[in-house]
Amino acid sequence: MAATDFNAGPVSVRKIETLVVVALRHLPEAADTLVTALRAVGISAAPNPGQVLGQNPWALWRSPSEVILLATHRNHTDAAVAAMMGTSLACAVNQTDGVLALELQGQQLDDLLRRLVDSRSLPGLPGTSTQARLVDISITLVRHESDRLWLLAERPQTEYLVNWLKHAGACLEP
Amino acid sequence: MSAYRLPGLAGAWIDRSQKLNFNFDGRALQGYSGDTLASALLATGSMHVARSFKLHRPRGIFSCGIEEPNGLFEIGDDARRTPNTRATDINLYEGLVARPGNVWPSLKFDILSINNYFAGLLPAGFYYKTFMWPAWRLFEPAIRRAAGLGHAADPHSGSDPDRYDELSMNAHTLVVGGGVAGMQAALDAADAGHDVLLMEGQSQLGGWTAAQGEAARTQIATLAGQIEKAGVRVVTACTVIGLYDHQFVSAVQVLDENGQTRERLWKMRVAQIVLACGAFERPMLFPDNDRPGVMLASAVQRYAELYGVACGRRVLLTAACDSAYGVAHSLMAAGIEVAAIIDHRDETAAQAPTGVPVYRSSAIVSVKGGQEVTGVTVISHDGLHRQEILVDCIAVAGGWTPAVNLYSMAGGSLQWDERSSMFAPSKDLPGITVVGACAGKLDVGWVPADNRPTPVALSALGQIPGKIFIDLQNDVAASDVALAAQENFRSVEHLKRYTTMGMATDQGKTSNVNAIVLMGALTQRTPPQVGTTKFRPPFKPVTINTIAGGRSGERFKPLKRMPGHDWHTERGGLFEDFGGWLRPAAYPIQGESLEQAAQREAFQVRQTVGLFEGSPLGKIEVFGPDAADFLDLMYVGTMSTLPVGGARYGILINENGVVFDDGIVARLAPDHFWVNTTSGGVERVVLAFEEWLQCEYVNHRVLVTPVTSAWGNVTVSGPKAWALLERAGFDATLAPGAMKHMTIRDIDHAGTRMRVLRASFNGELGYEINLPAQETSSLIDRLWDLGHDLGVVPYGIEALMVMRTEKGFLHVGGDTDGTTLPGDIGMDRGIAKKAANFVGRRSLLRPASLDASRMQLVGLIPVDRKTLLPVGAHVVAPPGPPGLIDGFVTSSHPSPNLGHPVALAMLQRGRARVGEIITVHHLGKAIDAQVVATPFFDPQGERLNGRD
Repeated sequence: MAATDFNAGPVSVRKIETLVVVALRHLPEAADTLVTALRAVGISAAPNPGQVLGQNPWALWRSPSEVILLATHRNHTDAAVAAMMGTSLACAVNQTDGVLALELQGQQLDDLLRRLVDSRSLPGLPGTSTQARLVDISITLVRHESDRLWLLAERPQTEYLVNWLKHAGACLEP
Repeated sequence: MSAYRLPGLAGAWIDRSQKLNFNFDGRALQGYSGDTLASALLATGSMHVARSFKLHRPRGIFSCGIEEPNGLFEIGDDARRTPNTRATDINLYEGLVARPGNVWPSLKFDILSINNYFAGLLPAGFYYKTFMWPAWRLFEPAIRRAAGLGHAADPHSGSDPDRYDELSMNAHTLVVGGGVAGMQAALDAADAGHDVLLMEGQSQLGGWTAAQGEAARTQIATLAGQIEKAGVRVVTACTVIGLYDHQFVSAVQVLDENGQTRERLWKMRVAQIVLACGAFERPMLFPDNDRPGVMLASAVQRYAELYGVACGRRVLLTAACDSAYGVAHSLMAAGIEVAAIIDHRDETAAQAPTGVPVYRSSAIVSVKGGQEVTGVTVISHDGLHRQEILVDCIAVAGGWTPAVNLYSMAGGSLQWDERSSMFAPSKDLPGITVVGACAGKLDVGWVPADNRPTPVALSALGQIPGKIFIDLQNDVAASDVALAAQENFRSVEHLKRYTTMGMATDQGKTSNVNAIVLMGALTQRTPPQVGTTKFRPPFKPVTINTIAGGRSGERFKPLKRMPGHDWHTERGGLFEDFGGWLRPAAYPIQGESLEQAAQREAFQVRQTVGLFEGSPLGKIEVFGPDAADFLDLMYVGTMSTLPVGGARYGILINENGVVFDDGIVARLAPDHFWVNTTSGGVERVVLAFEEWLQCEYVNHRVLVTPVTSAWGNVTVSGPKAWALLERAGFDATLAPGAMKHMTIRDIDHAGTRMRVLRASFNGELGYEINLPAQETSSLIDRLWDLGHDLGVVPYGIEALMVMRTEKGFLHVGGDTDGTTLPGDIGMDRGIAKKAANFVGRRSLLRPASLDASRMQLVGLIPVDRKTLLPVGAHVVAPPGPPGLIDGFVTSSHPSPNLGHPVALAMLQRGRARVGEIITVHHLGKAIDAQVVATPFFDPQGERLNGRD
């Protein structure tokens, strides 16, 4: 499998080894269940589209019926997962094993990403996230700082993604 | 040789301190930094540089921009060779190698120039009329070989080593064109507080004005300083090539023709677009107007002003507009002799330079010189006055054509300007403004639409006049346009396609308007009545690799890898693309072919135990109070009656009743289902589910979550499958006696949560172990280590296909197509009893769906028990082809477990024809086969429970 720690030109790319990814799915009638689950892990409300709330775990909006919870350890998500049980109107689906999470960092981070995704798909401010199309695959971008963000993709696409990151990095002028 | 490099400091854009060596047609030459290939060639006196497409007539550089129709060369060698490249659009670099594209054996002596003598046999559309007897196909290969303007890189020379960049950019305002109008528009937008991007196709700003003398260039420099100070982002050598819906724009920037990153594709979506693309000069029409040395007047001026090149020692201007007079002044100022101005019009306010004679109401009727212009014959329109003038360059100024290509791509309509004889934008569009010459805002006096010599003048020549060329690149002459009119190809669309006018790489930039005017004159219509064809991207030719960007090799298309990929690689897996996943087709050992490996694996699995990674199998969690009802709506079968822990095979059909996917549905809890789909079909199934939930069944409380990547799948199958799992410590509750076929268990095995499904796609005792994807490799590795003395064997997709065919199991997409209904594959048994409605149900009641003669899936065995029936082979009723087909073979394999080939086929009324001998035809071969019921192997299904 492709090595996932490398430099894409002047931008460093590092795999986040232990990122827990849980999809909190809910029907409209279970909005309260979702809020309860988020409060159980210290997040006061459900995020709006593009918003990232919380700090380990982080909650991102994905669709009207889905919030993604990211954390560095499952301890940070267990309470939310538990709160989603007990109703047939909501559930928590662990997607951790299916997600490749990379941290990209560098001054030319946006220059790199503009070679791979539509510039309007980039999350602008820290604390925002977007879903984007990276060439021909779907990804999620989470901006933490102006020069640091997370890129989440389907793990089976690792080779393809790494190839593209390296290719785009090579086109950057230092 | 007539063209030459002007002495002194002439040439505002070149750097005479930096000489560059290049090679053209085997000749070592020199130019300067800042030269284009065209200017460098002209400076060496190279007038004849190419041959025309069809007639192989000598041609020279015609223009100074992307509209160049003649100077098309192959640039570079080996894998970097690029054909059909305009010399005017290539910046000279050290070591550049260029050659004409369609000459043999040489430029000066081209054998195919004989075509010119047979021009009468090669008019527009000749291939519809000539070379018909005895058969077109005898001539077609030779004609195709002779066609074309160059050769692409030889595939044996390797892949293109250059890198091509791609960039998505935001801006509020995009200004296309860096001439004065464009720069002013950019400045205005920046001063209004907008984020402005200005793109200019040439390597420097200035446009037409840059060639209007030193004072003009000073004005440009001042303006350039202002826009830089205003924060405008300027990108040069960047041509906007396409304007699409919703203000989406693409552009190609040339970075370094000889460097590592060669070109960059820009993709932008902007709020406001300003088109300042300028205008193309129109040629004059006169006999032999294609000779080397005939050039656009503005080009002659630009070569002198910007590149320090005189295109001739004695230049003649022929004009139908006032701009020619400005060119005359410019050339004189540069020290180039202007022999005369031939003005098609009888009067104008424009003033010629002192000492330059002007012949009004006159036209060129003959050009002397075969390989280069040596002189002209000029006759007045009334035929009474004749001049013979010695010249070596003819600069033509027939008017101007606003570059409306991008405007037209945006859907803008054009209007005809009677005074200037040009098509110009009729109005601005939402989000798009047109300025400057591109908007038709240029005053060049009155311009006659038709600038051909009069018939009287041509008659006064006293000899048959030469061809008048309209479209230089495709060798389309006025006679071809006349032929089109004569044969009633009067519509501008027919004119274009019948004559190929405007269909070359220059897209008619210098020919469209002349052709339209001529067609109008021939058919008593005005140019707007003839109309224009649609402009489409790209605005100028673009290399394919620029569009492809990095899409090659591993980056060409996303190919998913399974969690156990490395494990399969270590065991010699031969990988292929199956439904977007890289999967082992087989594991050849000891020099086996793929087929041999698949046969061995299929045999061994049925003897012992096989390991297969089924991770790509689509997996969807369907959850909610209405999940069961919803699945009844989606599937042909009934899923709501499944007990918890039960599983059922189901097929999915669309609204037309056509099968589009299949898989096993298992019930994990009253309101929780685990849905499997085909490996390549999970996205379309999720899409179908969501579409129905969001658009039709909006009150159904269901959550659909795809989890394919999160779960790995290790499939253990064969008579010793349980023996292996037992050895690995799996609980006895999973033993065949305790766990029924088509049931699922949620278990914890060695601290890992797993969902174990007893299912089988090969007819053997089978366990599909679903587990967190990251654990897949360790499980399969552990089973492999434990199973050696049991004879464990890894098996790939090909072996699986052999085994499932032996069982007569369906392969959606292989045994089905866009017409297959459930009844065709024997899956309609429960439909009548199913109370719940389901998607596609009504379509199954159509007469065509109930037709008894529909194709049905059956088994076939060759009568000789030896011949493999080819997939796709047709069943044709006696006496055989040609005839209506009765059916076709869909799957076919040698069966290692039966000792003879087996096949599946779609056959009309197939199930009623079991026992019948039919004939299968393939490429002239006839093979007899018997229709049989399936399964071929283990018809009672006893092996499912691990018993022989």
